[in-house]
Amino acid sequence: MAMSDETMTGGASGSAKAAPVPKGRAAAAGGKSTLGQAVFVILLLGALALPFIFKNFTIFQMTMLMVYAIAILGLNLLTGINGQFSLGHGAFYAVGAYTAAIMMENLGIGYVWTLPVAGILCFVVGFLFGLPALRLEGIYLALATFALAVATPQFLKLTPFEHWTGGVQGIVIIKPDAPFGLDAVLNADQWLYFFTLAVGLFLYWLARNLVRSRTGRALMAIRDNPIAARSMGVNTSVYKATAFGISAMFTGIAGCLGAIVIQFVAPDSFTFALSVAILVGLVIGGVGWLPGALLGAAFIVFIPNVAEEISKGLAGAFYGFFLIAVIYLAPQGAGGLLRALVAKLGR
Amino acid sequence: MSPILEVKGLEASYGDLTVLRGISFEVEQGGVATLLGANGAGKTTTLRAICGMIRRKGEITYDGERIDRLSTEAIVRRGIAHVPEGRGTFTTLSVEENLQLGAMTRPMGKDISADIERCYHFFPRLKERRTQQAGTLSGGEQQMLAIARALMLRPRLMLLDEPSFGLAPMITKQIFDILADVKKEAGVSMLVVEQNASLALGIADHAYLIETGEIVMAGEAQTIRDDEGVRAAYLGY
Amino acid sequence: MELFIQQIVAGVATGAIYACVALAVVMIYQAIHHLNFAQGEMAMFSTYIAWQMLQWGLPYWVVFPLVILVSFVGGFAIERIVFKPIENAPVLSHIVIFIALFAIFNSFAGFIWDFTIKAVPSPFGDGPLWEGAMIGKHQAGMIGVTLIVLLLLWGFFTFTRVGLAMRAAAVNPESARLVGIRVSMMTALGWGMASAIGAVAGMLIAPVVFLEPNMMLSILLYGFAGAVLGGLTSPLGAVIGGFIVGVVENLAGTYIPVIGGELKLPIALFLIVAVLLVKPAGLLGRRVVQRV
Repeated sequence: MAMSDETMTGGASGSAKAAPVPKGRAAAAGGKSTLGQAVFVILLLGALALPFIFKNFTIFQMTMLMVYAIAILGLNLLTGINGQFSLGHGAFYAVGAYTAAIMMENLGIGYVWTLPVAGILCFVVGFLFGLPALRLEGIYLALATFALAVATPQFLKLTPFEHWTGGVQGIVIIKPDAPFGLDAVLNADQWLYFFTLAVGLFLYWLARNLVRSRTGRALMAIRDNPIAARSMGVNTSVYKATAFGISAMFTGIAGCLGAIVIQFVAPDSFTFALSVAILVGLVIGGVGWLPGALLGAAFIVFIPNVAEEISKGLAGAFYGFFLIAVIYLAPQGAGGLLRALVAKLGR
Repeated sequence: MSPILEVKGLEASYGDLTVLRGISFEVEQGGVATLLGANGAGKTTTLRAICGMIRRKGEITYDGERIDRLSTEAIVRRGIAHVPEGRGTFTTLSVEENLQLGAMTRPMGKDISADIERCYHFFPRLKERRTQQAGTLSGGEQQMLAIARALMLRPRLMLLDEPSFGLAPMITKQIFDILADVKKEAGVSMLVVEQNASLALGIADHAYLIETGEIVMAGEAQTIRDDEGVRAAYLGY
Repeated sequence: MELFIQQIVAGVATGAIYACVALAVVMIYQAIHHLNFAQGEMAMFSTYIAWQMLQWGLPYWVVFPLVILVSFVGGFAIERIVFKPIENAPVLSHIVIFIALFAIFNSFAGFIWDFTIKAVPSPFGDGPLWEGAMIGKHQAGMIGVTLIVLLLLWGFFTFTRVGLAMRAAAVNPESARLVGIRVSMMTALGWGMASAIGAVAGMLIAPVVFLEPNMMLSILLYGFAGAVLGGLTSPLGAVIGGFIVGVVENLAGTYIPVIGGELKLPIALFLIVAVLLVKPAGLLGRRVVQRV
């Protein structure tokens, strides 16, 4: 097992109801294992070269892929590591996006500063939503977050906030140029791509360290056996709410980046479909496997297009059938398939 | 007469953990057999395996027919009633509804209400509580309800899992007295699993001693009762 | 005061729809202890089938039972084909499958019948129930049909053997098998009934909101709110909860200026979270004790 040193340890029992967590779930490939390291370096080199090879639309797509990957990473911290899940992460994404839009267009603050603000704000919102949510388990949590997702666009349309949010019209954002005279070399799309890449790498590093920290272990203990964790002195409610906050923070930063990249926010960009996309990305990539976020993001960026190629009218149906197939054939997602493959090759 | 239940080389496991390592025993027509053993010896698993509630290997013959490949529902339809560990009553349904459910596999008709009356005759306490939710009954009453529900099937074989579990000695004695009556009056064969060996040996004709998934001793109930080793280990005198 | 009463009456009428959806939600919950997030889309699809049959010229009161039957068979089949293989899978797998079904029904409806909105006639006629009445004919019809559905369900669960068996399977599946009940068949039956009830809800609401593929999402949310409020284990509770949600929604829309007529979904969110926190079992439901 090439990745065994990266495997999150945890009891096989207890978590079965909360999330599909495979035996010997791996948190993060790469790092110490040579194979993972090699893959990481190749991917990084490819990512660095990409904006100089492809056209602007592809660069835009890849930037959005990274944005979604960050959002999925956030949800993975909640579901994979802490055993809670959410059908409503689109709401946190929306909070992040509106934070960016309002700060940049209404207050005239530089886009770089929107990221930490969005992160902190979403942490607070997530923590507060997590406080009641931690009393809810399984389908009740799914229900509360489903309601959050469906209600989000209407929240954004509420008249008292219209002065800030622009109501149904939303807010148009002006795309930032590359700083420090780099605009001579990089156009705005390329710059945003590298900016997103840097933020993504930083957040990934953060997530990995979180998983390996004391806090991370406590979160996994709660996932695997909440009652035992409590009896060992882990304050489950604070940890679970914190997990919600951290998860929302990641997704919110993704929303912030996404708004800058798309240059526009409006209530109807943040419907239930967005929350579904993030969840689907998580499941496709593999619950509990952090790099899976990239694969999941690739799925939600490209597969709708592919489905549309196959049949314009039935894109949603193909999407649905594909999801069912994944649950039947590869319930651990792409991450599970890869792990199985590596285990086979390593033998 | 051939035995009503014949088990040969029964194996069962939960995941990697093997619980039964090829046990064999039988229950005679109209007779009572008991499986004795400590906690975790595999007694409950044996009953669950017979009923098809877990995966099992080996031959199980009931009334001349192999039942080891049948589903639980199909096995129940053939007249095997299982009184599970922890009683397994339908807690939010009324006592009478619980009894009606016991007759689920039988055609509808008057004889079902007659059988309910017969159950009330065996267990007058249940009659008093017929409209009450089963979950509100005491432990002893729930055990009575579980046995009565099993009788509603008009079974030819009853599997009883720890009927004495968690009950006061007086109630336990009452229940075993009723079981003895049922055996006599209705001619139902029984397989009783018990930790309380002296109780079980009181009504059993045959006894099997099970240890870590294997039968270590078998014989007439009387012989087992008189055995020095059994006495020391299970009967405590 | 007149406005107040009028809003209550209107709330009860929309509440009838939520009550119907909530009933379907409870049926599924009883059968599989999950919430079917595709329930609304299934109901929408049933309603399209009804619309299609009406287009073909079939009379309404032939279409109505026919669609209920088709929906029942459809729901039954979905359980057998899609959910049976994963009955022991974790919650998240179920949720993903619900989402997949959501996408499939939504997409097929748009593909077959396109996304333009369609008008569906009311079987009860237009206009007020009587001269000067506050309640319309269709609204009264919705309330009546919902109550009839509830009554039929109550009778089914109380007086029939199958009903008793379904309740037993919901309370204790293992013991249900031990009395010879085919539990997985009961689950499929529950799906069929939920789908049929959803079809009734869809056909009742279509004359009010117009038919289009996305018509059910917010209604489903209100249905969930009604089911949670009344108690996920109680059909009667679900109906009462549905009516309450309808009234609360209407009053809030009228009297809380921030919300206005269009933006009432946050109320459903608020209701759901509040009920789950304060009284998770709902008004009439049982507390589900989770074993460790």
